[in-house]
Formats: sequence, C-alpha cells, structure tokens
Amino acid sequence: MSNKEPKRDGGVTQERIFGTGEESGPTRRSPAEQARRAVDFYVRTPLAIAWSDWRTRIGGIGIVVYLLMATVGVMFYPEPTLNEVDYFVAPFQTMEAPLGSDHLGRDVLAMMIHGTPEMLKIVLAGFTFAVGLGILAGMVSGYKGGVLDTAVMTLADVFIVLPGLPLIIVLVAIFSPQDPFVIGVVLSINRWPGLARELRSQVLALRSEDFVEAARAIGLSSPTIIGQELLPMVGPYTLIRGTQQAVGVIGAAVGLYFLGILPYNGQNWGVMLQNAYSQAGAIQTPSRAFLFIFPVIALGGMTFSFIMFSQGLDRVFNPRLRARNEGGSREEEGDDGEGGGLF
Amino acid sequence: MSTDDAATDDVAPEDVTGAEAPDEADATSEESVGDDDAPLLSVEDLQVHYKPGNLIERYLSDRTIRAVDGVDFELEENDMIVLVGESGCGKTTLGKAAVGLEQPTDGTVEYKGQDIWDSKNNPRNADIEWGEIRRAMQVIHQDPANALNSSRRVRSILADPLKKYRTELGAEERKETIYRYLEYVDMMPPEDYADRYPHQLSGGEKQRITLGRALLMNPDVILADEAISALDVSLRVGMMDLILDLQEMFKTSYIFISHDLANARYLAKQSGGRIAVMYLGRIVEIGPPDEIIHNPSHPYTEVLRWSTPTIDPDIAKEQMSEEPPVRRIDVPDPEDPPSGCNFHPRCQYAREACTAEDPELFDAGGSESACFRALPNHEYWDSPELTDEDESEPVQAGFSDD
Amino acid sequence: MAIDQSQSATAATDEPERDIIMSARNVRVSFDMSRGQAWVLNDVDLDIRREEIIAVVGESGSGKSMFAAALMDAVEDPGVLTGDITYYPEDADEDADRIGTFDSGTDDEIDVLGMTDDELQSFRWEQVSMVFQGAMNSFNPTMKLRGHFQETVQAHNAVLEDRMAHVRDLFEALHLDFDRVMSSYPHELSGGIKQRALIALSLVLEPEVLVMDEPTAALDLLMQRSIISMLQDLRDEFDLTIVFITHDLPLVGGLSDRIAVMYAFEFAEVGNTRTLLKDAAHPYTRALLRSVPSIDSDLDEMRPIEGQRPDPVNIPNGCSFHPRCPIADDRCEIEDPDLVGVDEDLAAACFYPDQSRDEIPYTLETEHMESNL
Repeated sequence: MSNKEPKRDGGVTQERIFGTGEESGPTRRSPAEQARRAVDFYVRTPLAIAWSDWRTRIGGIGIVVYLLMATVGVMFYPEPTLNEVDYFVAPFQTMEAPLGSDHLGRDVLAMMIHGTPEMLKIVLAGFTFAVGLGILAGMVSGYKGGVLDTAVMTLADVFIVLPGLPLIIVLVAIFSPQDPFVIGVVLSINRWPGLARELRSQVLALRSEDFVEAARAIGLSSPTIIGQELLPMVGPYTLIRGTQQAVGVIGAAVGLYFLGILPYNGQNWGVMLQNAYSQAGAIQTPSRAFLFIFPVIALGGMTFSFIMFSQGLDRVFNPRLRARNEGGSREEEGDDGEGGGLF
Repeated sequence: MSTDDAATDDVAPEDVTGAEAPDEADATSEESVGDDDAPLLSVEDLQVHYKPGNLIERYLSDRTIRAVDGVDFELEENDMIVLVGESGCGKTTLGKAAVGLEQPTDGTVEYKGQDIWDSKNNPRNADIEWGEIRRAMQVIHQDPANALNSSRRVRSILADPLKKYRTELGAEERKETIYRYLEYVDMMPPEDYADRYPHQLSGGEKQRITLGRALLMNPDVILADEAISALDVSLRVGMMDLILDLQEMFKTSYIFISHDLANARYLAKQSGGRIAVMYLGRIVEIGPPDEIIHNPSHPYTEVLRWSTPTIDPDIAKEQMSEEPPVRRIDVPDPEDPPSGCNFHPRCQYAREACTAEDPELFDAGGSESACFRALPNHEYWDSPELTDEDESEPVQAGFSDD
Repeated sequence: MAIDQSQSATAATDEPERDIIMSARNVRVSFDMSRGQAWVLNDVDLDIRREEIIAVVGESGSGKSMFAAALMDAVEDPGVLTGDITYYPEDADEDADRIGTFDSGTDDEIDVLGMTDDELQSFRWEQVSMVFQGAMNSFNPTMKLRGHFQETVQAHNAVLEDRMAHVRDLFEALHLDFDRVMSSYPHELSGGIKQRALIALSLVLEPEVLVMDEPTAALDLLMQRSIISMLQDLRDEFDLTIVFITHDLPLVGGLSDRIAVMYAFEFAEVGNTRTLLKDAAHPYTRALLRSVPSIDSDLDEMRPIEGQRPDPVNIPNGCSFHPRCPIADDRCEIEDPDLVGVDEDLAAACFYPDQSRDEIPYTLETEHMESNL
C-alpha cells in the first residue's frame, strides 16, 4: 500500500477495507469449521467426483491393484528362483506355481509380481519426463514468444522429425541403460515435443484472454502467470496426453525387451514375452500359450487402468463439478450477460 | 498515520511524512523526486500503429492501421475521463496504452512526470520504479466471465494483489481484508462467497470481484473497459454508483470506455469528469458532459448525439423522421485515412478547407474541438463547399466490430 | 387464462384498427435440468397485429428470445413447447402470387405448432421470417453473398432472377450497394453491412412477419439508429409486421407502435408505446424506466432495481416480481395476476396499477439545459 493518508468517509475508510492487520471480525468461521471445509475441498470432493465416474473408478482400482502388487506383493511373495518347480508346469495346477512356470522352472506369478515395480518406475519416469519437459518447453515458449519460442520449437521439431525407433535403438545401444528410471527417460525422448507443441498452441490462445491481461496488470511474474493461471486450464488435457505418452513408453519398453535390444536384466514382463517366444515356443504350442498370455494381461491391464483413470480425471478439474459436489454451496448458474444464452 | 510499506517505498529521503494533518484534502504524501506539479497521468502525442496480416504481409506491405493516431490528454487525481466512440475509433487501444498494458509506437505516457516505458527499460535512471507504476494502473474488463480465471476461487483471485503488494499481511489478515471487501459490496456471507468459483456468481457479482481485484491494489488509475456493457440494464446504474462511491472513497481516477453516450453522461456528470469523443484514432472533442451533449462543437459529436435514443416517446417519434447528420453511415477503413480532417468525407459541414489541413484541438468555448468551425476567423468560412459525391456509394468495409 | 388484451389494447386512439396476424395463447416452454424443471416461458398470451411494429422488451433471462423461437416453432430440443400459436394468412386469392411453396389452402387460421416439418419449412421464410441474435456471424465464410441469396431462394423452389428486382428494392431501402455486397465474401464486410444484408436476406421471399432478436446488439450507435430508421421504411414500403426483441427500452421508443414488457418468462405489461413509456402501470416497468439512464434523464432520480431475476427452476409463487416489488403485499405472494386492461390501450399484470403509478416515481423530463441542437 502506498504511503497515502487513510481516506475518511464516515465510518468506512480505506484502512478499514484494506485491513490494518486486525484479527478476525465478529462472525468469522471457527478454525474447526475452516479445517472441515479445507478437507472437503481438497480431499473429499475430488475423491467423490473421481469415484462418481466409472472410468476413474475402474482405472483407479486397477492402479491400486498394481501398486499393491509392487509393494505388498513384492514384500510377501517370494522371488522367482530357478528350478523352484518343474519346467513348463501348466497354470492353475499347483499352489507353488499358480499361474504355471517357464522354461527355467520359475513361477510365472512370482515373475509377474516382481516385474511390476520396474514397469511402474518406467511409467513414472516416462510420464514425468515427457510431461515436465513438455510443459516447460511448450508453455514458456508459448507465453513468451519471440526468439525463445522459435529456438525451443525448432529443437522440438528436430526431435519430432527424427525417426523415433532408430533414435531410441541407437541411444539404448550407446548407453545400455539398466535402471528403469533411465529407461523411462530415454524412451520418452521423442515424446515430449508433441506435447510441447500442443501446450504451446493452447497457451497461445489463452494468453490474450482478459484474465491473463489482468494478471499482467497486477504485475505477476511470467512464471507465476504460467503456473497459477494457465496450468490449471490445461491440466486435464496435459494429464490425459501425458498418460497416453507414458503408456506408449511401456509399449516401447516391452517391444524393445521383446526384440532383445534392451539388455536382459532378470525378469520383467518384456523379457517374459521374449522367453515365451524364443525359449518356450509359446506361439506354436498352444499348451504353452499361457506364458505369453499372462504377461500380456499384466501389460494390458496396466495400460487400461492408467488410460481409464486419466480419462476420468478431467472431471475432477472441472470447477462446475467441484462446486456442485461441495457441501452446502449454492448452485448459481447465473448469467446476467446480454446476448447469447437460452432465454 | 499511514502505514509504511517497504515494498512500495518510493518516498524520497527528504520528504516529510509525519507532519500531515489527517483531514487534509489532498493527502498524497508520496511525492517522487520528479515533478511535484505533474498531473497523475499525462499522454502526449500517443501513437499506436499496427501492421496487419501475417509475417510476410507485414514485411512486404506498407499497410498500417493507425489505431491511435496522436492523442494528448491529462488526468489528475480523483478525475474521470470517459472515452466514447464507435468501434475502430481506438478507444480501447488508447486506454490500454495509457495504463501501460500496450506499448505505443510513438509518443509518451507519463505517470507523475515519469515516462513509464523509460522506467521499465532503464530502471536505474528511473525516479519511479516500474513496480510502483504497474501497481498504480489497473484494469477492469468488459466481460467479467472472461476476466476471471474459471478454475480459481474468489478467495484466491482476490488474494493475488494482496500477496504481491501487501506482503506484511499474514494469511489470516489477508482473508480478513478480502472478507471486508466482500461485505462492503454486499456479498454476504463473505466466507461463502470467497469459496465460490466464478461460474457460481451472477454477472454483477463477477464484476464486483474484478473491481475488487483492481481496488485491492490501491491504484491511482483504473481503466474500465466497457465495464458495465455485459451487465443487465437494470443493474448498470448500481454498478456505476458503486464505482463512483469507491472513487469518492479512494480518490482513484478512472479512464472509462463506453460506446453508450447515456452511460457516459451519467458517469461524467456524477463525478465531475469529462467526456472525450474519439474518431479514427484521435480525440475530436473533449469537455464536460453538459457541453458535449447539449452544445456539441464537433460535427461527429452531433452524430453520436443523434444516434443516442431518448426515452421520451414524443421526442423519439419526432426523431424518427430526422436524417442522420452524416453523409455516409458506414465507418471507413482505419487503414486509409482521408487527407486533411479525418472526418470530412462524412461530415455534413465539410468544405474544401477541410481536405487540406488536419485540425488540432481548438478551444471552442465550453469544450475543445478538433474542427475549424470552432475558429471564427479560419479560412474554412470562406472556403467553397465540397461537391457531394454519390451518396449511396458505401465506403469500403471497415474492420469488423471490436 | 384468457386475456382482456383484445378489448383493452385494441381501441388505441390514433392507430387504425388492425386485425390480428399472429396470436399466442397459453404458450409454455420447459426444460428438464438436473436441478429441476425450468419454465423458460410461463403461460404467455399475445396478439400481434398486421403491419404493426411491436417491441418485446426484457432483460437477459426474461424469456424473450424463447418467445421468438416459439413463434416459429423453433424451440430447440430438449425444450418442450406447448400451447397455441395461430397464424392468420392473407385472403386466399391474394395468395395466388405467393412466392414459394407454402399453401394455406382455404384456411384462414393456421396452427403453427401443428404443422409438419415440410410445412414448417415453407412457412418459415415465406410467411414468417426471423433474424436470430448473432446471426450476422453465421454466414457461410466460403460463399459470397449472392450465393447465400441463391441458396435461400432455391430452397423454396423459387428462382433468384425473378426475385432480383425485389432484392434491389430491399438493398436500396437498407442503403446497401447491390453490386458490391453481392460479390463480396462475408469477412470482407463490416458488421453493420452484414446485418443489413441479413435483413434483406430474410425478406427475400416477401414474408408477412419479420421477427428480429436483438438485431442491433453488437453494432455501433450510429448503425443502430440507422437500422431503426430503415426498419420503419421497410415496414411502410413492404407492409411488414415486425416483432422486435430487445433489452434496450429507449431504442424502440420511436419505432414501435406497441411494447410488450417481459419479466420472469411472462408478460408484465403490454400496450401502446407512448402510453406505456409516459406512464407505465406495472411496477417492474416503472422500476426499469427508473434504472436506465438515457441521454437526457435526471440523474439523481436513477435507481437500480434491487434483487436478482429469478431462476427458471425456482420462479416465485404468486406474482413473479413480488420479491423485488416495492408495493407487494400478501396477495401478491399467493396469487399470480393476469394481464388486465388498465387504460384503453394498456394492460398490466398487476393487482395495484394505480398504487404503482402513485408510489413508484420516474421521470422522462429532460434536464433544464439550454440546447443548441
């Protein structure tokens, strides 16, 4: 506030409206009530909305199942070891290997459970890298424009144009990554530019909106405007596209393991597929098809869960739904505007 | 005494801040080292020109749109100026350039004597910091639905200005300030309103939030860009009264943009301000509302006056048979301004002298008018009348509505 | 719910007695919304007289656009339209050189809501034409204006060349350059020109009635005023009936013969323009007139209307204006008033029109100023 004298106007002065730092007035809410509302807004309502959409519900359950597999399952279910059972035991025969065993006598279920953490890490890394870089590059260059925009977008175009698969193969051949996080990053190296371009075009449309101009008038810095004003508007879109990219990364990883390009590093679903194909002849031999099918189910299930979950997530971001579901707030779809509208 | 806010401290060391009596009329104690007598906001020969079209067209062609083509005016404290005109006259561009939201291609904008773009680009030599200038000039947009981020709650929208400029306030105090504002503008209970999203507010309520967001900055100038046009007619007077009340309380100045002369009159009269009539990027007449409306000097002002309907049905009926005081109804192309006076192709009083020279704002008695007819001795009065061109030929299409 | 309209508002003093060209009775439109059923048109009755210009005035959310849509049976799904809308065509033999395919046969009464889709398609544009809000932005950007006229005319089995003379007349009345406008694409034309071209387009088949929903809303002052004049010329030259829908009361003060004021999806007041503006009977109309600053109104008298308009899902019991009405009493909270005659040419839906006139002051008097105009 400036150093002006407080202006007087009967009882209501500028000081009074702007506050002199006094504590709450007569009828404010109690802290308990405030806490209750905070929980309602940030926890209960989003969960309720998420649950109300069947996609999020199914996807959410699926994700939780996988998370449990990767944590609790890994802790309690023994790791697969060679020769713990006979070779090629059929599924649903014995409790020692409920889903059968592979060419080295390893329990298929154990391999599935213990392969989960690695897959989840790859997904996480892929998602974070693609989305993070996409947001950074796309939104900043879209908002700022000028030379920065041209430079970043040219870089993005280079990555878009480079053939994805050969690029990844070369990178993998050079770096031989073992760590699933690194694998996730490498595999999403050609995915961030698409997202960057999409976010950039959204930002280009948004930045001439009145509320952005008002934010500039207030003097908010560019990072603040991007993060506070623009990001929530592109949030749902980003999440959905990001999840699609992450899921693409899984597919790529599995494919590369299957092809043997990614180094063999113990059990994971992709390697399981590779073995099923090359060692067990699962494609030709119907009795061994299960060695193929179970990893595929695991992969398909994970992909499906993530995609479903993200599809339903945009409802959580929708302010109209948030408002409608919050306890005790009035639904006012009022619009005093002239023109347009139903009536 | 006033609070000493470190974040906006621009008081020169030698200034005395302790000796002001609380009920002094002009209680601004923040004088900068610059000009003490400078008006609050001063715009001089402001030009904002655009080159239309895409990258290549802009590079290859000469076409420019002169949205603002040489405007001067001054705004004092607690002042109000209402810009009126048709679409394409440049009032929005002028308003935004005057509050530093758009960069002019030529001319200066000075805040208390400090050139604002100078302050931004050469911060070390500036008397007044850009941060202070930015705070001092705010904006309220026409459509409150667009002016509020639909994903953010009222509470967080109103907290923005406080977080930026009243950093001494804690979270609780900020909340309290917001609640007090909401109470003042009759949005009760304030806690309930603060939790809402914009779509849960009516148009009038939304507009009160945008007004609050601007006022919580404690600005010196607010640009209100058609701020009441999107509201229901029966609510407009209420909003205008609120703006006037708050102006009275905080001594903020306003640049109000309106296409509606009746509303412009209301605002200007109630606040003792001026109306400025704009045409093709220039101010063609400026003065107190009674002069502009009942005693217009510029022919274009007459046109606007004629175009504004009156509520009295008898007068309205008479007016139906009146011909418009223009030779052409359609607004001309802003890209291709005519020679001499901008208005002469449509002016009913135009003479040859009007094609030769470009009039400035002359003293026309109660107002200032950019028309040679204001000067009793000008050669205009001896000049022959223009031969009338074909009446029905419409001028080339103007750009579509703002 | 019959109205006394025909008795009260017909015998206007300086208007020729006009017969009725369209009438609406008991018209209702409802929408099923998740929070309840919304009545966006709540049992309205109105007569439209031949060759009159009637203004339907209401604020946003009053139901006026819905009323216009109902006249053409153009209420969008999932809205449900009930009631009677009747059209009274010209005499049968004058129909002989009717353009287009609409055939009223020997009926002198046509039930608009009962028509089949094919009949509706001929009816619209040939008998009753409408200019929608914002329609000037709905031109096909890939087609020149001539193409638009061609398309419309052909859709009604007529030939453009035959209509050319009439179109030229329309363009002249609307101050449009025929050759230039016809050969332009929509984006090359300004808003004012597009709107006038649209008006010409809606009149190309010589309809009897033109319904216009906020035709001047997005246009500049001068263009607005000019179009108002042009509409009067069009009415005089082509014997049109015009229904003009707007929120801007002063705009139609000189143009319209009668005004119908809508509030909360019903008609609050209907009557002769001059009588209504000079001394309105309904409290809402009076409050509205007091809240709209005009170029010469007395500023200190201006007052906004307290409160907010009702939600269509939650219309107040009794008189829908009673929560905001300064003279409302217990009766108003329970009973919903019908439109009853107050003067010879004015009807209002209020129990206390006299009290309303006494207790709600507004003034049209101009300020005392010397004027050089």
